[in-house]
Order: sequence, then C-alpha cells, then structure tokens
Amino acid sequence: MKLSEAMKIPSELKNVKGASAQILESLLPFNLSSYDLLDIRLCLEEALINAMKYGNKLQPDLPVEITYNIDNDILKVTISDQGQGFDYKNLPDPTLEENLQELKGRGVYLIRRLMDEVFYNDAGNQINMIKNLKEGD
Amino acid sequence: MDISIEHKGEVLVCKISGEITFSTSPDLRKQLIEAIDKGAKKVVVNLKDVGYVDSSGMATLVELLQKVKSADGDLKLAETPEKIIEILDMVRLKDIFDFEDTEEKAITSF
Repeated sequence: MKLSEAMKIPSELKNVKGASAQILESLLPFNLSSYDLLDIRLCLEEALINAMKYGNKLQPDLPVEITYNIDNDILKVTISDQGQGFDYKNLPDPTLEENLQELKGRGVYLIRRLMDEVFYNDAGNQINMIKNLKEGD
Repeated sequence: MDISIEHKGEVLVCKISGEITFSTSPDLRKQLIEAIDKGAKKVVVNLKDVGYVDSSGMATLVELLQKVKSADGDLKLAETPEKIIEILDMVRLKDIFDFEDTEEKAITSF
C-alpha cells in the first residue's frame, strides 16, 4: 500500500482530534492493535498540539502543515508550524527524579519513546515521525 | 469525558469515563480542585472507563496529586486500564502515584 497526503489546518486545538483521526483512518488496512493505534494517536496529537500552541501561538490564521505517507509498511508523518522553532536538543528528561512532579515536558518524550524514529529540522519547527507498521510481526 | 463525584465515608471518589486530554482535563481540574478546597483529603480517581490520557491529562493528575498532598491528603488511582498504566509508566508517573486494582481497595488504603 502506498499513500501520500497533505493537509493544512488552522491552529485551533479543536482541530487536533479530527486531523489525527484522518491519519489513523488511513492505517485501518494494517489491522493494528488498539494499543498501537493509541500510541500513534498520542504521538500525532502531542505533536499537533505543540505545533499549534508553542509554534503558532494558537493563531488560527497560521496553519499547521501535515504531510503523511505510507510506503513499504512505514508511516512517516511531518508536522510543521510557522514559529521560530525550539531547542529540541536540550529538553529536560521528564523521567529524571527531579522532574517527575513537573507539569510540562512529557509530550516530546512520549513521541520519542513511541515512534521508531523522530527528528526535527534545524530550526526546530518541523517534526518528522516514523513508525514501522509491521513491527513485531 | 464524564465525571461523577461521590463521597464514600470520608473518601471522595471521582469516576471518570472517556478521555483525559488538553480539552477535557480543565474540567476535571476545576471540579477536583473545588472539592479539595472544600476539604476533601482522601481522593480516589477511578480510571476504569478512561481510554486515553495525553500529556495535558497527565499534568492535571500530577497537579491534583500535588494539591491534595499540600493539604495533607492523598490521591489514589483505581482500576487503571493496563494500557494507561503502560503510558504513565513510560514517564515514570507510576513512581509518584499509588495504583489500586479496585476502587474498594483504594478507598481502604488511606
């Protein structure tokens, strides 16, 4: 199965679930477990929220761009915002003892744990997430 | 997300069904903080019917734990689905929350 799609959505948090649902729907032919779908959903929504909230400062006129493609059982999702980017190389580790009570900082960590590969562009305003859909077979 | 709050003796039991996310967690936060401000010190949050928790939802649970502990109380999570435990464990929240298999055990665990 080969698929390549792109969409632009206004930076309003009400659009997060619909966008992730559209991507998840395209994964139906893979018969992923509900647990795997939940993992992917979490990554998509965390990345979308970050792009809208911290990148585009929730300005509806600034769109978040999403491209996703599936090729050779590999899902690749790219989410870009219009912001200045962030210092993705120096994020605090939320699993360190001193950070366990923090109220922020778990989203990107979870994305990195749940996806097979995650990388940013140099500016830090575009995240690329890769997931092998046949993993564990 | 639906929230039901009831008092069982001196324990406040909050049952949640649905998803705890950036859009639903403010309501949970508001209702429980109100209850804690009114004096609830023993709080059980029953997650049996919760299918999804995002990082905002996790932050809300941490904030509620901090709030009740600062009032010399405690908060226990009950009947948490396996998948939710797995995700919470990934960010080591299992280290700061007490999990109980059943609501009854959670109520008697204070």
